[in-house]
Amino acid sequence: MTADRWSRVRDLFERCLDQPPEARASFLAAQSVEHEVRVEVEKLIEQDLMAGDFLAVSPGLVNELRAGPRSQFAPGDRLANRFELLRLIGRGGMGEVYAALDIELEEQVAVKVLHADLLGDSVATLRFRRELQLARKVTHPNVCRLFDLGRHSTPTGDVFFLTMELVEGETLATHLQRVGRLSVSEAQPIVEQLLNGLAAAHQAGIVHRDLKPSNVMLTPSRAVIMDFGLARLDGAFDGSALTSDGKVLGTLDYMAPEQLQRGAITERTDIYALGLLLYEITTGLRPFGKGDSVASSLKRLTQVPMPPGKLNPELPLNWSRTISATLELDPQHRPSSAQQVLEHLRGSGPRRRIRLTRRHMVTAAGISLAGVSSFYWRTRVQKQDGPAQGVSSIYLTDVINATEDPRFDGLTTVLRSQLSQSAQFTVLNEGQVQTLLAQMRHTAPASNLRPEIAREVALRHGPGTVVVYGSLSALGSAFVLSMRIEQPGSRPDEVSRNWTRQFNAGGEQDLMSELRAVAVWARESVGEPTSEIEKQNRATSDITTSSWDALQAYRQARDARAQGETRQAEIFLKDALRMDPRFVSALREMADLLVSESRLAEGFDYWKQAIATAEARNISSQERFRMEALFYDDTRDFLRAEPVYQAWAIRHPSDYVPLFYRAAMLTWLGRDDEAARNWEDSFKLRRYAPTAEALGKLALLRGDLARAERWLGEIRSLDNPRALISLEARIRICRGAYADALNSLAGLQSVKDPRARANGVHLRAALYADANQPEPAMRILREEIARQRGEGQNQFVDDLTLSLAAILAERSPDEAIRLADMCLRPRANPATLQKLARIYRLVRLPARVSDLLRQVPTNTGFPVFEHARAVIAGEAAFARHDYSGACKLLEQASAIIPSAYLPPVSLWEALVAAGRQRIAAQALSEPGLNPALLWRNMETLWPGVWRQCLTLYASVETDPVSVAKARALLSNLHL
Amino acid sequence: MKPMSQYNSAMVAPGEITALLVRLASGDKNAESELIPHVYTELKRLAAGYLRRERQGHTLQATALVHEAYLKLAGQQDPNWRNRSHFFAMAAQLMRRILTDHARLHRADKRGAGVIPLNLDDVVVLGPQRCARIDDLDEALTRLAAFAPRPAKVVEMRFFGGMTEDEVAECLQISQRTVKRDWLIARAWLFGELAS
Repeated sequence: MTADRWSRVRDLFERCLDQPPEARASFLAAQSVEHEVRVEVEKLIEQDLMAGDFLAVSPGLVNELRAGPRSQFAPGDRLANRFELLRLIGRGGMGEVYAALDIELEEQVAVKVLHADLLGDSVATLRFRRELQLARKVTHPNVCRLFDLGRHSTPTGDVFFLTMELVEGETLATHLQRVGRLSVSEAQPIVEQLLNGLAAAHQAGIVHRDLKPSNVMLTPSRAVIMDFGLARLDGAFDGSALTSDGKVLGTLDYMAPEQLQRGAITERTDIYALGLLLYEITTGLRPFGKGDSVASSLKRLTQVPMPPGKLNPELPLNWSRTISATLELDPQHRPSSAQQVLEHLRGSGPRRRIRLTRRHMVTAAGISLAGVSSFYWRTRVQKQDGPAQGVSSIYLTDVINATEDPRFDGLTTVLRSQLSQSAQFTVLNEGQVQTLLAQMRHTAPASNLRPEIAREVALRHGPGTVVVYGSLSALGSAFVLSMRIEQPGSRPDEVSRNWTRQFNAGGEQDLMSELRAVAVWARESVGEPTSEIEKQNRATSDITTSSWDALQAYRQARDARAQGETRQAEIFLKDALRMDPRFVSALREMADLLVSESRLAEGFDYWKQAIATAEARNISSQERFRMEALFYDDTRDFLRAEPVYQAWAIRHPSDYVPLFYRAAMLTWLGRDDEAARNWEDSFKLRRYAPTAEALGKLALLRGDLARAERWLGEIRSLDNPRALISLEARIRICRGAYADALNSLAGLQSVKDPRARANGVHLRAALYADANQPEPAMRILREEIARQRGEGQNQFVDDLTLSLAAILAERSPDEAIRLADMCLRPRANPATLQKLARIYRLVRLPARVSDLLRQVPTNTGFPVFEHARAVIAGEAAFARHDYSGACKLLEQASAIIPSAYLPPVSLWEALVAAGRQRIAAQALSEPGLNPALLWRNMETLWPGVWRQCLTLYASVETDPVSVAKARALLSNLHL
Repeated sequence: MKPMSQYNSAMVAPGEITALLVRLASGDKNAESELIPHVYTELKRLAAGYLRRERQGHTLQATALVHEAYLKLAGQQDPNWRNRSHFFAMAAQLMRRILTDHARLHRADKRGAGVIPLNLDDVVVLGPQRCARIDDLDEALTRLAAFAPRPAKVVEMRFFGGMTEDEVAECLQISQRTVKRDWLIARAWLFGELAS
């Protein structure tokens, strides 16, 4: 470095130090200096932080003899005339450790001979003795017991040594080095024991300060924490810990941020170290990297690591969350005790999370309603900046209702629908907000968030996201609505720009109308051109409800639905529609609810009403797109749905939702290239795990394993264990690693969402059945059925039961019939009916198959019903041994709903039965040889279907190469 | 830097040292070269004596030695504490040499014979707080002095001489605030050098 540059470095360094620590980074970033100077100053600032006690104590002259690698004692030596050394068992920073025989008590102990300089200073000695007195009181099987501090006189001086319980085994550090990471079942007993040990020590008032894998000893029967109370002796707790070689001690790697900064050391300091240890046990990785202690320590001062669940999909969600919680920067945010960590790991910590279905994601985004009346309002500008640039998303937080009238809780909903008219930005939907809050491990409800939490949501969602807050208060019969828009700075506690405005309304109906003005102001503030606003700014008279009461009922319905109380939701929606029969959002919500409840025919009626009402009321384009697309999607009319999603995507280019669904439609229609492009575009707009999952599955279908792995990597960086496991398992299946696939799917067992769990069991059962192991397949299905019933969840029980029946159909027909009959309910959905038809056909009950036809509405024109009729008729023909009739009907069916969506397995069987080998071989070659095809939608099929197709294919194919391939797949298809 | 063993112990009268210190404080370079052998010898002698007497493993702090050497050589006869600070500055420099030389000697010994006799030359330098190896620190300080001579000097005076901030300030004729800042930046820089 030149003296000239040094003087600039020094100048900036000093000015930087004058700033409060938290402002230094931004101060530095704001300086216009040459790059090298900035880098050098950044380095110095970091080093200054790290330096701690470096150079604080003057060097000294000490005798060589007690340092160095030579052992001070030899086996056979006797210390203090009482401890006969047996052998050297370890050598650490503090000194040598020997196994020794206590001659007085005739038992083996460990003797740790301390480096002489460790006790050189009287204050340190005193402090150490006190700590030792406390540590000696801890008698717990998972804490190594300390006995005594001894003194051994030699001709050259006294040597101090500690006696302790002799624990022989392998350190956790060595163990991890050998095995990488541990599975949850392997980790659990170790982790629980460590936590119990830690809890006992903390109760005795001892903080370990230096918890790390090399301080944990594993014996065949237990895990033991070593060296409690000794950290003070080692000096390891101070940030300047350097060895005599000038190298930073390994202990720095497990220090909590407050320890590195020499802040207060508490039990939560140990909790942090334990978190790092758990992270390493469960992922095999150190969250901040290995090797470079200083760099990783600096990261630990400012960063929270990626949730470990992302690195190990088999890790249950509550483990991942708990570990992340222990690694919070602020000790106050960590679990307060080892006991609490234990409870969280056992899943008994309180947590309720609203389930979001696909339907919430689409429908939550907007509704339109309005009040119609004359109104008086004045608007007072408090402060207004120029418009913002580049805003692409708005996070509308719940408007605070300070009126004490719950009807006005619906104001947020109205405002959301008003804002959703904009084509320039999208309004974050509930699903997105939930996901982001979950990533932040924010467990409180999403309403009434602190601004810095809301800003963090916006920052995490991506650049160009602003936060909108509002608060409504009543003044007599008038209302004041205060609005604020914030553009976050680079961190959650910074606001780069903000706009505020107050809106006044003379009465309830004025307030409803006023919301339109609020939306216009917000849209202007975030830079939407007036010409664009005019295009989609529905007049109040166009909007669909003027009733605050209907709105309130609508909101109650949505809340009830989010809590899974669908019956209650239906009642609220009926109320809302009684108050305003032309309330489009309520019609739509009702349609959506009924369809998700498998009450398709009723649901479709509401869809038609909703769309007709929307057209009559000139509702916004986005609303219409949304409704039409969902309606076509629900009726499985992919050909019609696709262009609607496309139009929606064109009109709202910043919205990831239409692209996502358009891609799905395209792939069902066999247009995979276009599908891939749409999903990729959607993923650019929102890094949504299911999008990456869909792309990964598509890559698998094309045999591109490397690309599938890349998408898996993307999912890893997003907090979505379900998507991760789903794709990981499929990749493993395509690689032929069936046992590994089974392993990853097991990770879904601990997921709370009953749908994800049911699917996980379904897929595992499919793997077992494919591997010709029906017993475990049936066992896990039965267990899950019992579990879901026990939880009062009946939604997925039929699906699981049908899978069980499918496995039993050929082995135990009576049992299969009994199970199938259980699923035969009034208004059973078409998918269930088709599965039933197949089972009844397999158990040779043609009359029952035909009976099923009565359950499907006729002449609806909806593909979903037409398809079901054709399939059931085909199965009935099949059951009557009319194979050519069956082929004809089943071919018709697969022309109605594309085979990409629903593989026509029965058709393939019928072709074989009809003796049409060549056509059958053609049809079966892909599903047989490419496992990705059937596995893509395995959730909707039944266990054993792949083995079935593969066997059929091998029996009809004439090309010897393909036959050999099929046989090879079959012979490898075992666990 | 070479070992300075060419200086033999040459006892001087306390008054003579005081005179040399007064000249040193007034900036007389000749006084420094006359003083160095005395101080160096005294430091070594003190260290060796202590190490023989003390039980094995005792740490003898460099700064304590410097203070003791000062008392021995100038003692209570020196009325002017400004002289004292100049003495310490020089002693710090010498202490740095002594410690560094012995660290190197020791390492050379280790590569050679395994048996190490007990005398001053076989004393290894270790920080009681596990500080960096002293000869690395010495080299880093020399590199620092190339572009930042004063901060390097401040470190030498405080770390090896145990001088207080105001003693350093007085000796270098700078403000205490500057001493503080020199210390901070030099320490941060050295930490980076030694930790990497």
